[in-house]
This record gives sequence, C-alpha cells and structure tokens, in this order.
Amino acid sequence: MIAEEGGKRSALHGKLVLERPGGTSVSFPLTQFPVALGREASNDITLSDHSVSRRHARLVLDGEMVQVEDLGSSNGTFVNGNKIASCGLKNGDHLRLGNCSFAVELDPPNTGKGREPKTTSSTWDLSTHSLSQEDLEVEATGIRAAGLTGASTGAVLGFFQQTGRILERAFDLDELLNGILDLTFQMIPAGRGCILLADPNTGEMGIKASKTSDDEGQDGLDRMKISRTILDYATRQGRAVLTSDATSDDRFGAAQSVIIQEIRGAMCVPLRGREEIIGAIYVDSKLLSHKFSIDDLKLLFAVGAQIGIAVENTRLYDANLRAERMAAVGQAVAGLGHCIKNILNGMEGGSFILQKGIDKAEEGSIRKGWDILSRNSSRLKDLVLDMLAYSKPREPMYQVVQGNSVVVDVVELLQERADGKGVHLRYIPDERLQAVEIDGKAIYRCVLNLVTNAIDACQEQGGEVCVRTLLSQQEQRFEISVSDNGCGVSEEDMEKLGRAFFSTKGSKGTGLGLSVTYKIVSEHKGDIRVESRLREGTTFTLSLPVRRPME
Amino acid sequence: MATIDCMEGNTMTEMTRKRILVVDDEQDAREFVKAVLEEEYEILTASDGDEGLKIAEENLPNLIILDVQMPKLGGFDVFSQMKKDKALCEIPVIMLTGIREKVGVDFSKEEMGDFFGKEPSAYLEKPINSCDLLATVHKCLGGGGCCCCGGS
Repeated sequence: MIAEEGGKRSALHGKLVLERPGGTSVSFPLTQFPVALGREASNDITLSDHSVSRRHARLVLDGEMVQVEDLGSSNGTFVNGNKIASCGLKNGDHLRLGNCSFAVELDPPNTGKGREPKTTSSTWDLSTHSLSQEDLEVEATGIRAAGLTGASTGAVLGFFQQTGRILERAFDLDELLNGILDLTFQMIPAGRGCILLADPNTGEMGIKASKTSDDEGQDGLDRMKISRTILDYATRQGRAVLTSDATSDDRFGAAQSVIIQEIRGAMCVPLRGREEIIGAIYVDSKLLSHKFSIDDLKLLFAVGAQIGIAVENTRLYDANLRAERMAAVGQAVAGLGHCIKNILNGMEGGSFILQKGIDKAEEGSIRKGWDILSRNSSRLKDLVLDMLAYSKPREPMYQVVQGNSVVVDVVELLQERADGKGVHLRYIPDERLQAVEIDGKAIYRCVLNLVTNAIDACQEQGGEVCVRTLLSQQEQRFEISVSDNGCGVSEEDMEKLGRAFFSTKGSKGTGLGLSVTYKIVSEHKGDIRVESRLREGTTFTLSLPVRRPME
Repeated sequence: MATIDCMEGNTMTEMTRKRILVVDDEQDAREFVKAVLEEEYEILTASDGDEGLKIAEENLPNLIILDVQMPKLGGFDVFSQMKKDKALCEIPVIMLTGIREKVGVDFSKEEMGDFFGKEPSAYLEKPINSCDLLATVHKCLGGGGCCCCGGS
C-alpha cells in the first residue's frame, strides 16, 4: 500500500527504535522513503553523535523491501553486527550507525484490506536531540490555568468543578475512571481514550477504562494500540506528551517524518500518585478536524495530576473498607460468642441443679433447675431472632393492627418480670389511637426491647416504668414512649446506643436489642428520641407514621 | 442482697467451713456456682461490683469468684479496688469470663483499667464446667480434689 506524493513514496512500514543510554528509547516511524540518516540537520533522522557522519546512510524502498545503504560513512553502517554497504532489512534486525544503535521493527507487507492510509505526512518526534521539546511538553509543575487559551476559562472551571465532584463521590475505581474519561471527552476532541494503571504488584501497565467517540466508529477500541514509546515516555519521565499533525506545524519542517498508524494526533499524560507515577491517560484521534492543542495537553495534564491522587485514595479506601469489614465481622462473632457462652452457662447451671435435684429427690432443686433451663432456652431463641432481624434488610410486613394492643401485649408479658424485680409497671394508653398500619410483630419486638431495658435499668427498690401511647392526629403519627426512673445513660454511652453488641447490661445484654429496634423503626420511616439523665431515668420515644408511607 | 447460706446437715463444722463470695450480675450464674460449691463451702452472693465489695469488706471471705462483665463496676474494677484495700488484697480471686483470648478477642486496656500487671489466682471460662470450678476452688483454698472426678 504505497501512495505517491511529491515524488516520495509513503506508507507505514514500521519504525526504527533508537536505543539511548539509560535504557530509554526513541522511535522513528518509517513512512516516507527515502529516509536520510546523519549528523546534519537536513537529514530526515538527525543523529547528533560524533561517531555518525554528516550524511551517514539512507533507507530506500525496493519494492516492498526496506533497504539500508551506507553513504560512505567514516565509522560504517552495521546490520546485525556485520558491516554492510547495502543490505535489505527484516523485522528484528539490529542496525548500527557509528555508535547509534537501532532496533528495526518492520510491519509485514500490507496485503490490503482496503484501508488506505490517507495520512501522508503526520510527523511527530518524541525527543530527538535536534528538536526543542519545550513547546510540546508541560513540566510536572508548570501547569497554569492562565495558560489555557483553547477552551474558555468558564468551561475549564466548569470542567474542574465536575472532576472535583466525581473525585468526591467516587469510591469505586471503575466509576471514577469512566467518569473522568467521559468528562475528558467533553473537553478534548478525542477520538479514542483510555486510562492505564500500573499493577500495584508487577508495575505492568494495563488499560482500566476506555472510551471511543461516536466519530471514531466501532473499530476504535478493538485496534487500540498505544505506542509503547509514548507511554513509556509519559510514565517513566513523568512528562506530558503531545503528537500532532506536522503538516500544519512549521516547527517540524523537513525534520523527522513519521506517521503513527493513521493517527493524526495523540496525547499521553502521567497519573501521579503521592510518591510515584501510577498510570497514564492516553487519547488520540484519527480525524483531521480533531487536532489537539497545547491547551488540550495542559488540561489533560492537570486532570492526570488530580486523578492520580484520587486513584490512590480510592485504593486506600477499598483497603480500609476491607479491613473494616473484617473488623466488623470479628466484632460480631466475638459479641455473639459472648452472648451464647453466657446462655450456655445458664443452661449448664440449670442442668447441674436439675441433676442434683433428681439425684437427691429434691423437688425445689428440680423446679429451680428446670426454670433456669427454660429461661435460657428462650434467651437463645430471642438472640437468634434478634440476630436474624438485625442481619438482613427487610421491608416491614405491613398489616392493620390496633396500636394500643401491641403495647398491651408487651406490658402483660413483662408484668411478671417487673413484679419479680419490684418494679412498678404502668401503662397509659391514648384511647384515640385506633387502627394503625405497621408491622405488628416487628413493633412488638421494639416495644418489648424498650420495656425490658427499662425494667433492667431500674433499681431493685422503687423502680417505676411507664409506657404510654400518644396519637398526633395532625401529623398522622403516633408515639410509644417508655420511661423509667433507673440508672440513666451516660453521655459517653449515649453515642453508642444502638451500636450492635454494645451493652451496659453485663452478661445479660446481647447488645442487639436496641440495634434491632433502631433498624425496625427506620424501616418504618419512623424515628426514636432518647432523653436521659444519669441516675434519674431515661425515656425512649418511638414515633411512627399511622399509615404505611408511600414509596 | 447479701445472702448467707447456712447448710443443714453438713459434716463440716462452722469453724472449718470456708467462705466464698460469688459476684455475678446474672442470677442463673450465681445459682450455678452456688449449687456446685454449697456442700463444701459457705456461699455469699452479690449481684454487682459495689455490693460485692461491700460484702467482701463485711465478711472477709476466703475466696472471691468474680464475673468480669458486669454493668457499672466490672470484674476488673472490683479486682483492682480489692488490691488497693489492705483487708482484701490477700484474698484469692477467680475470674469468670465469657470470652477471652481463646476466641481471639482480648480485653481492651479500658476494660482492664488498673488491672494490668496484677493477676487473679485463676480464670474460668463460661460456660463453667462444674468439675473445673470445684478443682480450681480447691486449688485456691488448698482443699481436696473434685469429688465427682475422683480427685484433682
């Protein structure tokens, strides 16, 4: 696939990769032949090395074959270590001019799939010695918003506001990267774009998000090959790279002419983390109308600086989240283990006393042992129910019930317990409260938990617990309040109320009752108020909508 | 609610019967310990830390069995207060714990309070094994082995 233009034959044939000291390399795509190599600036590839002659060698096209010819150089031209006068080049050959070594990368002859490269003279140079790069590169520190002229200041500010918003919200890496790419495409006339991140373990760069604009068509991403050289340049040296269309760029003049695939222009900027470069953003375009400017590069560079930190934060956040989850699971297991052990202790005790009673035929001991056993088995049942209620989110099973009857049931159930402790349990219903739409069983559980807590909080003598209902017709809400004159909740503990496995009840508490209560009430779109004074008492008030809330 | 249980028909005389104070907020747990030990010892019970300290001062028991997790004054608090009290500091203490290092959860410094650096005579984990309890008590009080296990 060779096009004739101005006597020069052009097509993309591959590239020469100049190996430079320090492991870096510069590549020179081969598109137009002949290609002159030498020390003089008039060469297509200028090599400012004194071992290279002014006009050292040239590459010519012989049919489909690329040939190298020595032009009578002082230090010679070598292919795979052999000094040559003229020689055909194959892919993988090693070419040396004086002290300058190139790897030869040639594409297999194009058999023609109807895709004729229209680009004939896009030129680009990454960093040859002979060309000043200052215009093309923005140093890591040198980004100034004032320098942006391509896009209006307002648009740029808007852009950064939007990136800021994405960065604030994004706790998910994919979401973050895709959001940033979308925004980038709004600001920069990119055809294709991707964000690469280094694998934290291997350091290998991999594409983590990519996007193709509508103009570019579907083939964009499938064939997305990113120049390794550009990428390395951006990530190793931490510099922003812009390749542009040389036909309209005087600075290139008759210097190195290369075509990167069919791409008119490409940009690549590093993503900087706190300590190192962690990836890169790459965009390119095939369309002539979509040329990148220095301002685009500056903008992209600024984006790169911002999201580098964000990517690191997201990773840290993920790691923290995992650690927190593990800690939460550990806490839950420990809390449950503790509760279960206490209940088991009761059961062991019950059966020991029961056994003793049987052995000695003492009815008192038998009865006592049996009571302890059955009490602890119902504690275990309550624990399991609380655990299940706590563990999964569920919608309340709404039904129409008499609001007061839920409370009466609890009061009746706990009367005995209160009496046993010498606590006076009172119930003051609001008779106006009629049918309400709630999950009766769930709210019963809440009230049961609150009244149990209230009785437990009371001193052995003179304890008083008062349960009230109250209808607020205006607001279509009703309240159930449980007051006690017990020990009260300290300010410190107030913050921990409702936290799973937090209990001030010693062995008796599971630390789940209030957690479950809070959860059920919030599932009902209700709320809980707590007023407490140390040693004076506590009032818990549940406020619930009378009718099932509309979604 | 201090309870002093005097056993009837006991073979030992009141002089030789040693006194054990059981401090646990849970009634079932107190009953359990009492049932295991009451044939050999005189058992006092207290349902919280404050009450426990009060009864200890009044009765000077030979051994105190302390539950760690109690509301208000916890087991470690009671222990460290005892160690500051000249009358009580020599009394051996067995700690009852619901949970300890075995499940990977250690007590926090807050929970331990002044407790660091001092150790009770023994730990017993809940659920309590009656033979272990008896054997541990015997060890602390220098008595015989566990009757049901045929000696310690």
